[in-house]
Amino acid sequence: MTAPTLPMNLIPAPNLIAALPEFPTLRESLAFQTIGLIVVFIALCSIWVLLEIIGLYFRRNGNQTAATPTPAKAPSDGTADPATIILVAAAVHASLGAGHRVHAITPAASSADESGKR
Amino acid sequence: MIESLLDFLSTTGFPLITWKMTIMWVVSGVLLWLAVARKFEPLLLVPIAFGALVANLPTRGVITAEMGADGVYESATFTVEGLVLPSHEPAGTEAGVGDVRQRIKVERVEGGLFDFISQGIKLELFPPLIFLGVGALTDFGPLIAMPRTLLLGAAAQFGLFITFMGATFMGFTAKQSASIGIIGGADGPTAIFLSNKLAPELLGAVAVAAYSYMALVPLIQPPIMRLLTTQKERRIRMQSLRKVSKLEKLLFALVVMTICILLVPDASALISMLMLGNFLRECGVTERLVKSAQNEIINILTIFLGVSVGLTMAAESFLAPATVKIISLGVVAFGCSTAAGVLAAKFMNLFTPKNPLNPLIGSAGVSAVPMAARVSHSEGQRADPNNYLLMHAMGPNVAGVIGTAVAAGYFISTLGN
Repeated sequence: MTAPTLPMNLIPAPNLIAALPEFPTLRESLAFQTIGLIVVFIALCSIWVLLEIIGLYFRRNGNQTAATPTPAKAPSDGTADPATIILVAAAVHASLGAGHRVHAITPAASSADESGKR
Repeated sequence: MIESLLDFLSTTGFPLITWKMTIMWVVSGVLLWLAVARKFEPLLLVPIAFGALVANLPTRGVITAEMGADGVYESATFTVEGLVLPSHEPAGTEAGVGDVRQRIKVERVEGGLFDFISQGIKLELFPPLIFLGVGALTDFGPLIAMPRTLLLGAAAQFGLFITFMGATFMGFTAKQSASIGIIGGADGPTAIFLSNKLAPELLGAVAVAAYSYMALVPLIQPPIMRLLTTQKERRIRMQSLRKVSKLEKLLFALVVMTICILLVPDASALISMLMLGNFLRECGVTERLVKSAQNEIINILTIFLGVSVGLTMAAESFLAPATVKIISLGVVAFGCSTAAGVLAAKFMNLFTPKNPLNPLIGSAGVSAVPMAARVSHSEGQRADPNNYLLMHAMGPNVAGVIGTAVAAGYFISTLGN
């Protein structure tokens, strides 16, 4: 079976294919190179433009996500932040006196599941 | 008894040794030394050197396919033995004048081991499949984060076209010149793919030159980079790259493949496999396939590709003045591509003075991933030890791979018909 051949008007740049002889002259060679570089630049510039457009969308989308205020996450690993420790220690000192020390602070369970686990 | 011994000796390979073969043994030895002792692209130079050695030994039952006078491999030289069966071809099928059709039950096919392996090059299978692995190994994130570096990858193709002109002046045909020029792209699989298509008689020399110069990137590029940049330019610190999402990377693979195939359909085998490999890598749900592409597939093919290329280096075709010319033109191609990349970065800085590019990353546009990017980084650190250019240089580096594939597609579409 022979491969189907394209009609001449459907072959990309038929003039160029026909124009370059086996041993091209300087002028022919220069024209060939220029067209080649243009093809490479068109391909990569097209990708550049599309990537900029895609990137613009993603950057905008990313910024919106960053701008949305998110509530501070409650400590869940059993540790408390320094301000809480100072507050609790001060409250213990005020109510029970200097003879008592705080050994550990465990956040209260915030959900039924956690309560159940404990 | 002596007669029998002499008869046996006449069947050995010794009488078939020629002086050209012995020179090629030395060439193979040098390539092995470069690969093993100097670690110059060992993964490819070792199989190439071994293949070259096999091609220049009087082997039997290993290589049988010959290259025709027109430089085209005759892959249909296998001797097929079998039984002729009655034809059941439906009536009305087109057949040329004098076309005798018969069905043969093949019982034995005679062809050497390497003959079959090297079908992968002759049928243009290995380079695109290697690109599958390259795609699976490459992170296009730096390029997506800074897409203007695509221009550096395009500019670095300048050397490729300049060398084309130089080769035509040195008496090579247009097809041969294109095969030599592609050395400047510093992309081994693409160079092999194009050479096999346009000038298979130069395949061995082109592949050896391409891989040798890729290994010599740390020696060839720095003097050109220093010559074309000032100390101040080399110290330019570039802005940090933004984080690129998974969806962007997936879209990139599809966009690049579509645009490149639409513009240069002849590059579709290379580009589609490159982007398939990258899509597999980035989609995150085909881990097993990615691991295979990154390891087993690319490693097996590298062995076969290297040996097949080496097998084309038979003394009769390799020991020719053309080989010396190709190797000299390869340096020109590399040098021009490096210079064009650096100068393009400087030119682009005229338009973006507030967010300039360090011109050293322009040289990475010659592909040679990731060696060229490492050279840009180390040159940057020589000027400013706290300047980290590696990730920025990866952008033009991978853009160079795409640019070279597009250039190869252009050569094939214009010269390959």
